[in-house]
Amino acid sequence: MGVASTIATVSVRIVSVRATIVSAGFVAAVALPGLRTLLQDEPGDGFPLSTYPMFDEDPGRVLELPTVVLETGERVEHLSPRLIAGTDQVIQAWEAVKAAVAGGPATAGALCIEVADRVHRPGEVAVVIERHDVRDWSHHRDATPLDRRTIAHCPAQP
Amino acid sequence: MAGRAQKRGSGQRSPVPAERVAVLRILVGAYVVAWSLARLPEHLTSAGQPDHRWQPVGVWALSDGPPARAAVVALAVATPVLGLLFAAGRWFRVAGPACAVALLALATLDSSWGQVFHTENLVVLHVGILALAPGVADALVLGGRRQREGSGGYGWPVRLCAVVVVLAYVVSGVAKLRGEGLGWASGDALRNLVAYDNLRKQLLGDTYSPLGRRLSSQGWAFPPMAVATLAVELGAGVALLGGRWRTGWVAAAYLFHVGVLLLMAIVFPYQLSGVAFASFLPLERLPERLRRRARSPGPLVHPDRRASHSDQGPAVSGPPTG
Repeated sequence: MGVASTIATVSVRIVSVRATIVSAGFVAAVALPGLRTLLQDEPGDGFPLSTYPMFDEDPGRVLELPTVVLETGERVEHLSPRLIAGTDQVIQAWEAVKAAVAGGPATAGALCIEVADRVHRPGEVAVVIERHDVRDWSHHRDATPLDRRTIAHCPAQP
Repeated sequence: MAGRAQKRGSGQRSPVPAERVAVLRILVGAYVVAWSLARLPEHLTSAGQPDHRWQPVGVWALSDGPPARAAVVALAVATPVLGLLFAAGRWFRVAGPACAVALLALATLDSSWGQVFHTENLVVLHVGILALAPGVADALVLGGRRQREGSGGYGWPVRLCAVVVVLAYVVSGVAKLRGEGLGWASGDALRNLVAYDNLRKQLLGDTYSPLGRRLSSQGWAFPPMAVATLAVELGAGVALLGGRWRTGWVAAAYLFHVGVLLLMAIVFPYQLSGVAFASFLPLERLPERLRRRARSPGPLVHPDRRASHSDQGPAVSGPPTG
């Protein structure tokens, strides 16, 4: 029974050490991004260990928002994330448009062509930047942008 | 730390039973199955994304380009299967870690196309914790394997899952204060964020919250919401006190995510399913209740009990006895 008791004690100690190591590891891993947030100017983000930066900064009231539209005559239709970037995730589509616009007319043009290949309707695809007052929009759903400027345009492929 | 607490019990008044961590395993595993099946079409689609959109994070950070389509398909198909084994507790020594690795790889893949998702962080961490903890499959295993005697140590993985949830919310609150200082509590940032997020969704042809749009025209609504948000996030530690503090915080955190859904059309499925907060609760009561319900005779009386329940009408199962 002495041997069995010793084995049991050693087993409990092994479990205990394992619990401590795993717990310490996870706590440190999850908490460290928070420390980075406090200590660094640009702490970045990651997965699954995140700084959770969403909603941390005020975007302001007047904003410039890039997007992709389909113009058919007078009508302007905002295209879906699926048509813009082949994804159901709106932020992925947003990042794709932002990157294309930031890259200049050539990359915006490439995005335009990529989108046009997905839009099987007549019209003109345009990569645009719209300037909006978010407070005005909150009062009027169909509030028009303060202005809209086209970065690239190309015909859709019906 | 957690080891000493295990000897005393779970840091609570009595030792944590194996059923608690087992129910947690089942709930988390079931969520993994549901999530990976619901996302299967998108996971298969993302395999066809253009390479120039690849912005790897986490375990994919060192990868030059996206993984081969065949690898993505294999991962997308394997994850729900491994999730099922995880939930069932079958072959857990292999299936547990395999599920953790597959989920980590798949969820990180989702976040490597220009958007870091913040909806699956907790489930990935919870699966990782449970996969590394012994005794998680000591009880409630499909196939009815007998509980291993004396394995003990059931409290620390449950507690760690709860601690990780608390830390995640605190880090989120710290990020808000770091960005705007205490001014975040004034509500202006939140108001603009709600309006901006909904407007962006509209401009990108996506579903947005009409309620959020209308409410952002009302400035008075946002200071209390901002204060409540910071209280839930920075005050998450109270949940570890147990009792009413725990219950109150879990309820508040859940309502916070309901609010996010209503005002911003943003779904945190792990939280809204309740599984994210399961580690705070006495989960072993679930199987106890189910067993009690299975034992207790209801209106449909077994023939052997007709003598005791003669006022409830004839038996509806089995031939009459005697």
